[in-house]
Amino acid sequence: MKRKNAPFVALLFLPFLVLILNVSCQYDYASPLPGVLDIRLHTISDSSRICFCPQNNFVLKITQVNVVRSDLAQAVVYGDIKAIKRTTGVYNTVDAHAQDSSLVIGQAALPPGNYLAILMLITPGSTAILDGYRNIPVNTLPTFDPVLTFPSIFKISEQRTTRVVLTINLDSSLVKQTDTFLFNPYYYISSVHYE
Amino acid sequence: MILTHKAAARWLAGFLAALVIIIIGWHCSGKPFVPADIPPITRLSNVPPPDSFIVTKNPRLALNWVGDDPDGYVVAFRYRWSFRLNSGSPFEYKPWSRILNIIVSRFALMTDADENNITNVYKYFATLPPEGLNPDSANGLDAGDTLSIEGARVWASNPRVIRFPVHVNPNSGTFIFDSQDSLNPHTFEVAAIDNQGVVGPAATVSFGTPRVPPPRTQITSSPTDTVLAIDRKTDTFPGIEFQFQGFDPNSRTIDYQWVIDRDLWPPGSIPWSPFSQSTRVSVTAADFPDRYATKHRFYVRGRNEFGSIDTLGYFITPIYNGSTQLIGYDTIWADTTFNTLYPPFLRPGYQQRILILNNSYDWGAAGTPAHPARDTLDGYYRAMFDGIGKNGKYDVFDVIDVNNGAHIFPSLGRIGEYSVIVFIGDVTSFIDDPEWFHQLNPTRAGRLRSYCNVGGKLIISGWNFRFPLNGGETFTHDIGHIESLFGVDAARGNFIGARGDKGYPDVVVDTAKLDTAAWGPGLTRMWPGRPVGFGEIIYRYNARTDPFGLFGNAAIGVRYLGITYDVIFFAFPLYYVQQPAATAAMSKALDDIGELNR
Repeated sequence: MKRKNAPFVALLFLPFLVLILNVSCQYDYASPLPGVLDIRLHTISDSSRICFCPQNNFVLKITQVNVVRSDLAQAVVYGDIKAIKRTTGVYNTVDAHAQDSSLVIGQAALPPGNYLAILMLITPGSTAILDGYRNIPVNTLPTFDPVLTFPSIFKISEQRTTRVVLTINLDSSLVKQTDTFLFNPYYYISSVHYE
Repeated sequence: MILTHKAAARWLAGFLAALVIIIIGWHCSGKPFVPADIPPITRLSNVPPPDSFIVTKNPRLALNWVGDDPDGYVVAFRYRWSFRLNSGSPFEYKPWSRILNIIVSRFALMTDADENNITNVYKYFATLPPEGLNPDSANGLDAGDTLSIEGARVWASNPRVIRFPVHVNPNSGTFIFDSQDSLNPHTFEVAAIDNQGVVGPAATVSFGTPRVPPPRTQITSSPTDTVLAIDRKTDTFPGIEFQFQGFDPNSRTIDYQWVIDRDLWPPGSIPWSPFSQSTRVSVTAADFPDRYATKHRFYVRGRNEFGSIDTLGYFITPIYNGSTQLIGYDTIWADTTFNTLYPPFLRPGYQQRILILNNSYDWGAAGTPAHPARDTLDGYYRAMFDGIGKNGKYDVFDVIDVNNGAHIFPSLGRIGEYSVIVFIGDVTSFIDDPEWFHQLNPTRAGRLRSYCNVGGKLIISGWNFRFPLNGGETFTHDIGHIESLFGVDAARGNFIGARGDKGYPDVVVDTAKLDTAAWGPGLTRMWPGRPVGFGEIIYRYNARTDPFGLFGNAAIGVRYLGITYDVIFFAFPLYYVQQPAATAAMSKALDDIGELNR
């Protein structure tokens, strides 16, 4: 007996075959959407010594900010979320925005995951200006390491913002000498906030 | 039957063949033959014949060797040498030292691995990737650190911190042999270790080393005047500096140790400093057995690379007239006397004393309010300090030239007795022609500077302090913390007062004290400027006329509250301003430096 419906049967099997091939080609995971890291600078200073006044100025030049993931991979953090490259940022540490932790020094869209630290390459200003007229030279030790490492475990979640506040204590970082300041940075991550 | 015989023959042949194979196999399955390792060979070069004995010129001797292994390769050398403490003592051996037969990143590597493990250590270094040792390990070796390799310690014989290393390669060494006796026999042995850990027979050499004299040491620089000393170094007190130098023709290095007042410490616990190659040292009162003592003796002694220490403390050197004629001998000492003063104002239980140091011109009996006599000015400040409540807590010292009286500038010892110095330079003979003997010359300025450097507190009141009193720009810059802005204000009588800041009251010139006919309605040739460093403006210039706006906001008073000393600088004469404000300004100055309610 001759079977006339064999091509039809083959056509029936074709979708099944395509389905099997697709299943075998499918990744076993889906790529997540990024989260946002928002890094802010906060400065602590005794107002009787160096107040947060418009007449005072001590800048930090930040040339690079990196964030270290738990697998030690590093990602570069730019100045804001729309930036396409990192430019040197100059931040006045005794600016009023630095006092209330609203001075943004970096933003980036990052893969979700656990992160270990933030690395910041800085250059302190050569002088601190007090009361608008006192130019105090700022020196560093020969062993000064311009890479500040802020160790802290934090998490980037998908489509969420992680706000990290880096704190620099100027009372300890700017050591008064006879006629100069010695910049010996004392810094840490003071808070991590998930939004 | 024929077939039967053929079959039997085949079976027999087969059996014999199997038997032969079994027998051969039986022999082949035994222990493999391993030839015995041939020990490596070591040869010393640049040595005298074995039957001779040489005496070196000094305890230092450089030796070279090579090693070879007929059936492998040399992974390391080990060496040691014999010595004895004196001619009556038995010979002893130094422990074996081992050096790997490889150079990695220019380092000659020593190890404490024994013969069983040293090949593993060698292989670690011999199989490094082409880029060599990782930078961290190389830096560690270069800094004199030790690496842990295959359970053994490895360090460089030639890190950068060692100026003259024993080894710079595995085939030579420059050794310093123990040489306590006049003649010290030694036998040096070196043997190669091959890749099987087998140690070959040692190559040996015997020789003698002499005892060498210690280095000679002399002091080349020390304080010549009494110095103020405190018990810690600060930004402004770097310590009291001594410099010295050692001589030893045999030694490549000399290092030094020092102590203050050696004979005043308990015997057996003299705190000699650690040996250092530095030929200068800064000491503080903490190094004295009695920090309040005023007379001290500094001792230094050198040690050469052979460990010989100069304990004599002096040496005698001939003095020649010209080039050949001996005319005598000189004794060069490795100790020197110096004088210090621990400031009384820093001692426990100190009671506050203020010194009013009147450095002004004395118009004598012919004095007027505009040109006051010295006593008048003294009286003005006495009244001021009595008004502040410092009655009985201050002294007045009039700076008088030797030709005009007994006083001169106070000594450092006198200055050190006061917690506050109030330097008065309000009155001059003529503003453009300062009286020469009242100059704040470098010696006098140096005393005030020394006083400040150990923690003093200085208040200055002066009329154009920098120029007529010759307070040099360096002094006013470093100590007064003010520097020139536009030079002096030459407009006649232009200074009519100053606007106070930081809590200081405004001041106005007292026209009753002015020679208005000659001077006009104010003071001339004032020296406004701008603060230096941590100097803060406490007074701004108040000009009668300032058409170009040069002096309007310039500083005419500066406050410096430093980490070691404080200075309040009134760059105008307090005598010539209205007294209530002047007294309030002085009161505020004492308050700023923590001396008002003391």
